[in-house]
Amino acid sequence: MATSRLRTRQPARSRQLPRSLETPLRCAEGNRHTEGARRAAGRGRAWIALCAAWLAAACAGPASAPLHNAARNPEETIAPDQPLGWIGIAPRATPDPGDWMPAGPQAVIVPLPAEGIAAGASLSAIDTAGRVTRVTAGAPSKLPYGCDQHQLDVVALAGDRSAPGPVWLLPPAAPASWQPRPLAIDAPVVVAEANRRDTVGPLVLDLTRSDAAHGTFAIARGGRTIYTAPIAREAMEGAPVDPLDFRHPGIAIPVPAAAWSLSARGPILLVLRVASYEGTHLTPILVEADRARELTAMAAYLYSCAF
Amino acid sequence: MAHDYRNGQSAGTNSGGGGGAAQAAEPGKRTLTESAFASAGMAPVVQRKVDPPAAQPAASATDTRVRSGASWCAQYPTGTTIAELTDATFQANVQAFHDAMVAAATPANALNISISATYRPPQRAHLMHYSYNVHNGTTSPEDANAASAAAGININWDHGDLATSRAKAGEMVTTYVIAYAPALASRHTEGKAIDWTITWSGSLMIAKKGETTQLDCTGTGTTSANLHAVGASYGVHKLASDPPHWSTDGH
Repeated sequence: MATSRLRTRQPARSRQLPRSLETPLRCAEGNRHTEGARRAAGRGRAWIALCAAWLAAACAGPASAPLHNAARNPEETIAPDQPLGWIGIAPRATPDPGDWMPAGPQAVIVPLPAEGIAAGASLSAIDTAGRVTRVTAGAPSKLPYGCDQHQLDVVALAGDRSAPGPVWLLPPAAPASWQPRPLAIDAPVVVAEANRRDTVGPLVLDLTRSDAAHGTFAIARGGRTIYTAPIAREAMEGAPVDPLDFRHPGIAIPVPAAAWSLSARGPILLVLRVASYEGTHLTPILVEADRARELTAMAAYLYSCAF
Repeated sequence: MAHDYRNGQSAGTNSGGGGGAAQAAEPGKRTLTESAFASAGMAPVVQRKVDPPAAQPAASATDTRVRSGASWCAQYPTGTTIAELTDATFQANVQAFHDAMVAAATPANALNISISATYRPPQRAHLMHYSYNVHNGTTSPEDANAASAAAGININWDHGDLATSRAKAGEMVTTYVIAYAPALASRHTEGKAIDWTITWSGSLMIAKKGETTQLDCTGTGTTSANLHAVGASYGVHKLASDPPHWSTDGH
């Protein structure tokens, strides 16, 4: 059973957490403090009313937040063998020239090999807007994509359309405690030729160039760097040899494409989009409280055109 | 294909008279022809030729150039077979590597090899490159015309005003489905690269060229380091960043 692989522990490092996600913890602590103050010290009703109003406002949180998250506030970790599902793409209804996203009538497509998706399987799909739909897998098929009449080999899933872009298809046996919600991908806070900083919910993504074709990608959470990976733009005959320029993300430069949090302060599934010379990689990274790992089995590649 | 061009022409997408190109290929017929690059001093290559683009109005009665537009995009198609690789040595190497994989595979392996692209005619790369640049304004129609004339391609990028010229180039960008700035020259235009997807189940036991010790290849053509080593022994080298791309030198 998948839930047996899920470990839940109580939060212990609130100072590492971003301010926005500390709110539920503060609410619980605030409640205890208010009760004690009222009984032991007998402070005035006006102060209590003011505090209660503040607590009510602080604890309300986003309207879409599942209530049990605020109540349980689990800090979940994911076992290495925990199935996490698949990263699919909700196609655009019509092509948008120059854009990497495919177009078609399908609700979701998953580029092959898409291992483990059986024809007829019914899955939950969560898009970048947080909309959850049920989709049903069909047999492997082909989708026109890229130049020279190329066709992508995909598993197409039927159902209601999602917001175009990456979609997380949850595994059928996803633990009930998972309450995925999309995280906003904000505009970069730093954009320069040799470095770039993006923020995705509580995550800070840093790109740092080390030489013309190399650099480092780092993820920080709670002010601590928990993941680094090298960036390498390999040489392709005929390609420009200009230095990597993070102001204009291009070949080999990862940019955030989607992210979902499993629960408040819980793991985050981050999807990076990385252009290569001939196509687009979607690279999922599971970011937990103090570590992160690339999920190679969930990665997708969309071949577009011979270079 | 040909009727599309003719229809496009008769649909009157461009006004005005003009001679149009005197390209004589019969609609829908594939012929072997010498490359237009031969006149520019480049080595002739064998290429597939499809229908000529629709005759667009030329700038003057003596100007036989065909104006840019989507009808150019079916010209000079990219090859999708090993036989179309124009570098004879690489073609032989790829074929030998292919045959070795096929010979090594068992029915349980369910080996599948799907070729996406092999040889891209330099003319196609030229048209893709300049349509992208004219559309994006990084090359003027006049400069593109000069480059195309030097390359021996009978295209006129100038439609009389810049907005129309960029729009017609944009038609080509859309039809080609160009996502990134296309290269003028690459291993594909040299006939020294192949994009193919290689998948199988389980262990594919295969030896390097000239050796008998079999390597256990698991994964896919993208991920199997052992298969990359086998390919390299045949002179077919993997480029790590692009899953289907193999070439003479991995670039």
